[in-house]
Amino acid sequence: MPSFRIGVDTGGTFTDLVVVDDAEGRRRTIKVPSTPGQPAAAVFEALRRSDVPAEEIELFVLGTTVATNCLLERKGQRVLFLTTKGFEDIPFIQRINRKSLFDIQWVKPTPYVARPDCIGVRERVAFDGSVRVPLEDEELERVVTEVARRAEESPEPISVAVSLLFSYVRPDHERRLAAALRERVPDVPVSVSSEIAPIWREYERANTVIVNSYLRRLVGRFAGDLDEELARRGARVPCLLVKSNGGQIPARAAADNAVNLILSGLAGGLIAGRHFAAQLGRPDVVTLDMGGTSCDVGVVVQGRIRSTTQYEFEWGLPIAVPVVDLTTIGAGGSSIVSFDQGGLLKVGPESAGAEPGPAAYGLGGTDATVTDANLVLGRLNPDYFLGGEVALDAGRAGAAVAAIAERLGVSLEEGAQAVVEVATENMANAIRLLATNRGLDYRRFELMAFGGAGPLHAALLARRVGLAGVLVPPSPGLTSAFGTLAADLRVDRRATRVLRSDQAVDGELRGGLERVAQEALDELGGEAEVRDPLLTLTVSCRYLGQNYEQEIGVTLETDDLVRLTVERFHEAHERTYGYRIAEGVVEFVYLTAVAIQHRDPPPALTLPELGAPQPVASRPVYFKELGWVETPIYRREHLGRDIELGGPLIVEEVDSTTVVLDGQIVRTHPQGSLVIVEAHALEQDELVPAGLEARRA
Amino acid sequence: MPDPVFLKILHSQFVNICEEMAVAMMRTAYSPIFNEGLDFSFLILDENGDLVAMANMNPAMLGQALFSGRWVIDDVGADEFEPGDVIVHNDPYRGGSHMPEHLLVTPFFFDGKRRGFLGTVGHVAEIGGMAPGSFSSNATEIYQEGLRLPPVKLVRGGKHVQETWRIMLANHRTPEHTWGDFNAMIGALSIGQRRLEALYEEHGVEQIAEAVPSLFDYAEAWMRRDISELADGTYSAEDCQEDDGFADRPYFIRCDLTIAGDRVIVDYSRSDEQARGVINGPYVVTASATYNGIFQVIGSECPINAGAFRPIDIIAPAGTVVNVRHPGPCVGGQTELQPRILDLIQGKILSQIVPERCAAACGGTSCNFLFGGIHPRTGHYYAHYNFEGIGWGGRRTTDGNNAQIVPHGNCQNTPLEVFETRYPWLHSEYRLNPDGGGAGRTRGGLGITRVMTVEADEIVVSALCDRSKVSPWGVDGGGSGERLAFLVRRDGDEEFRTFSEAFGTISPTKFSNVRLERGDAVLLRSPSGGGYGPPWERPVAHVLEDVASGFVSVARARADYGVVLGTDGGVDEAATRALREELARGVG
Repeated sequence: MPSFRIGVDTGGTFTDLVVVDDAEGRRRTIKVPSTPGQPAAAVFEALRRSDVPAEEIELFVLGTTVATNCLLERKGQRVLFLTTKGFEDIPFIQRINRKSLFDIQWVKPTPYVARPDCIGVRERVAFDGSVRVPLEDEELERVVTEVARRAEESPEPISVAVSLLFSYVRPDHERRLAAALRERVPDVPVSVSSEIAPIWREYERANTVIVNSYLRRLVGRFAGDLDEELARRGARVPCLLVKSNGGQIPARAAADNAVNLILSGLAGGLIAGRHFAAQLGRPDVVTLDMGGTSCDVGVVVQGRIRSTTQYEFEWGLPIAVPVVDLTTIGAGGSSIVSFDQGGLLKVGPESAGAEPGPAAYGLGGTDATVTDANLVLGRLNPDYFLGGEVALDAGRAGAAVAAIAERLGVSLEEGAQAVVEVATENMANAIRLLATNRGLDYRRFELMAFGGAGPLHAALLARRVGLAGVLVPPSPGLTSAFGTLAADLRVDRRATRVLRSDQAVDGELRGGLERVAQEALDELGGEAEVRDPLLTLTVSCRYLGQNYEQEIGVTLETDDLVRLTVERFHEAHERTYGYRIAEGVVEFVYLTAVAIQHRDPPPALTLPELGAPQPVASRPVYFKELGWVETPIYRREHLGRDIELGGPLIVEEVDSTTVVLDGQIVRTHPQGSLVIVEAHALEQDELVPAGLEARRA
Repeated sequence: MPDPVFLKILHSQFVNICEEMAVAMMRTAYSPIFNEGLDFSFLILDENGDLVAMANMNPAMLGQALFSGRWVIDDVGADEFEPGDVIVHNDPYRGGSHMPEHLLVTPFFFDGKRRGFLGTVGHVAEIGGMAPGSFSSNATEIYQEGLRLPPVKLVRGGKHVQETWRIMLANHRTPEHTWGDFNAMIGALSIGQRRLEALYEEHGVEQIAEAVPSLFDYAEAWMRRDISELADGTYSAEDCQEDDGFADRPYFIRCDLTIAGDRVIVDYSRSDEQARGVINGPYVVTASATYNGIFQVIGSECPINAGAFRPIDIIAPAGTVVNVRHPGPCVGGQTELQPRILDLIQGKILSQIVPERCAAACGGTSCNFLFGGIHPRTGHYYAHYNFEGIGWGGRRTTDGNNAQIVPHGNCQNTPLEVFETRYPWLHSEYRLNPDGGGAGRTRGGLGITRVMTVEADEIVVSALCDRSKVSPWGVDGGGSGERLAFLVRRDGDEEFRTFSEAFGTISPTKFSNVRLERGDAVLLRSPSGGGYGPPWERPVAHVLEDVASGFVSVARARADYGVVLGTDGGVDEAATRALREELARGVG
């Protein structure tokens, strides 16, 4: 019985589809232009081209940027925001700080809700959960009637967001309000803060639930279309979407949790990064997904993807739901090179996009871009970009970069090198900040580079940051699509429960954890068939007086839960910040359960024995330390297992180009990845690629 | 000159290290003023104490970042630093700004030699003195404003200096917070130390030593280029703080700013004599605000380091409100004089040259509100320093932002849920002030109203605010923003009254140690920004949007903007045209 697994990544420029044929043990990839107006169209066009019969699909998973683009383009639906009376302006007041220090012209971000649509509700809960102003029935009636009236009069469908003060301590009022609304105006979807994001800090919580409401309609429609169309074509499995936390969710459940899809399209890369890292036996990697317009940097620590609940699409508009921990910077192949006011070189964040794209595309772009610089340096092959589908015009690239070089007063190649250096430094800063913000010593990490442009810059970037090496997975340009298939089913549940370690709270802590654990398992069970799920429990801790927490992993298999948690927190604080406050009281704030149903990833490739590879060509390539060097060019498909080559060299394949620098060595891993290390580091055994250990011995 | 690409990279690496220290600080500090308010910054200094880089945090610390390093070296002695030292310093008479602002600085050694310093400047919420929160509007000498520390070692060679700690902890009202906050600062500095070591390992001592002066030159050249684009001449203007807490009279800051080619000379010689109260600033505060006002208009993306300030000379005679003489008090200079100078520079002086890059006056006060006492739930002493967002002034093409911290600083509010969890208050309102924004072609931003009730037997409160008598001004025909009100309603009373009426304080907005009791409520209405350009030139559609959003009432749409709305909410176009012509003539 044939069965196919299909993973789809809908990017800004291309929609990539990966088919894994489990019966035959093969995989195929399809790339079609994206259809931003109707994202589902490109998905089904790719499916059509794959020739996979719908009824033989065993798994269909998709990472989507629908929610991402809806936020970026501000195309969400009208939201009514209900909050405690007297506090209707919280989305407008925000946190009162600003993005840039010295810019009196700076404009504060506009909330995703209009001010007249913020409705006050007479009720008040205090910090300790005590009710200071009860939510009376008449007030409930008044609010529900008002919402019904507005829904009736609104020319467009509305969606309600509820966030009352201190609802994370006592959600009763929010629940009553939601129940009444759902009964009276069943067509109007209601999102409730104590369900979506039960966290303290009223603005962050409110904005999160507002975003959920804002996204509901678009996400619901897109997900519904996909699911229906797939069923109409005879598929027997539901469509799954990748969530921002790196897990999967059935498309039909997506609308209620729309805010959980904000990074759906970006998570695939990180999941694939983890997958390949595991395959290579590497616990710690930094992932670098660099495409045309931007570059996403993430981390895998001890084989796991980290998540965060602090994310902002637009500065000042925080979204507090679990998302895979990624940083995005405006550094891609099409990033434009310019000069800042002081005359120093600047790369990005402006992008030439896919059209006109880099000057080298010959589509009318004249600004120099990172791709143009790489072409000038001989690192890209003008006749083999995207496997030859896009011809690059070296003359136009040279002219664009020459203008930059002239202003710098340097030669053409030095100018191009400077562009690459600055772009690399932007990425290096992103990696350093991401790592140190999270208390990670990045020097033991390796760089997993993919996306069309990632492997082009990885060798220099790893050297610059001092990372332990570079890993390039097979088909780096399609890694994200592949990643959707490697995603697990995952549910995150969180509760706020403020407890102090110096009070006898063992039972309360345990009870709270058991409750969130059960909720997470129940929700996971509701989404899919679950066998032996993996459950992770954490307690967010801080010293009494601090306002930010660290998540501490705990287990219920202990007699002394509080002492265990406190000890682990001391250790974590010391590891991250260099000190502990041994006598400090520890406060427990959030209890989190993550339930994961592991999925078997697609089977690994096995590289054939192909013998010593021969370069397909050689060409002059410019390197900062060496100048122009006649450099051998290899084809990825010619590199069989157990190959070891010394740089400088270039490896080309259909969807990407890998650069290996002088002083570096590249090896092939039996399962297809390239491993690049500094030659001088090879003396240290722990850096030997796992697949080569046997041979060395 | 080193490779310019290397300079760019090095600069961003320095800033990056500062940002990393800042994140560590935010996540580990104890006081909401740090972990929510973000009232601190981090810096790297060279071996002479000159500023190499600063985090993009609170720019109010700029003056201290520029000046206090050299004072520390002079006071401690250039040869007296050893690895692992941390020096603490908050003296306004030795390069500090006001006493709550503490500089912690640690020497950076590499290859056995001192190469520079890492530092942080943070607003410590409680440092003793005559009022909880150490912000006493009734101080007349610096000795009343809290514990004054000349540069002394807090850590020596990696070991805490117990004597210093003991003196400090014995004089602060909330020693647990001092302990937690200072540990967070020291911890963050040690993170920076490790990062800077890695940077030196990466580039080498010589390359960095050669590059840092070039970075200064680079920033200096940037500023000179920007300054020389401004028309030469001397431009004058004045503004005031409305009282000093003692005498009901304004204190004027008068500024004559000269552009001479690629130099700027800012002369405050005509300013009023130093006040008896706390609204004075030391030179460092005046310089900080002056630089900040200039940077709001030119050089906003220029690297911030010692070189950027070389083309700017500031004259501020001692004994005036802009350069306080010992032992004058000065806690308010940092928070009240700074915004006044910043707006004076950008909105009244540089606006004469480049009006399109300037703004009308913002609300212009930090709305300092301090309170403390014995916490009814813990039995421990607590204190909190709260500031409020105000409205920003209108700009040439955009309305002023609502609810924004004064631009000389960049702090966050304390979320109400954090506030009430930590302190015994219950809020009943936290909202924008409709109709507050100064009318204009672009409107001033709206201030905030906060109403909260005491939930303890007693809370001792102090305030230091301004702009309750003198309105935030508009520019180019724009109207004034609404003034500040700081009111109290005693338990059982029906009405909110000023603190002068209710408690007999000399000033209604500058007072200390007022004892509030359970059930008393405080109302703070922060000022709104001024408008930019004649209001009757504001597009009718924008006025309608404001009315729909509730930012402007129907009555004020008519009175201020000349937009007449019918009962159906639609515009009466004929009446509007006529009224707008009349308003325009009235001014002409």
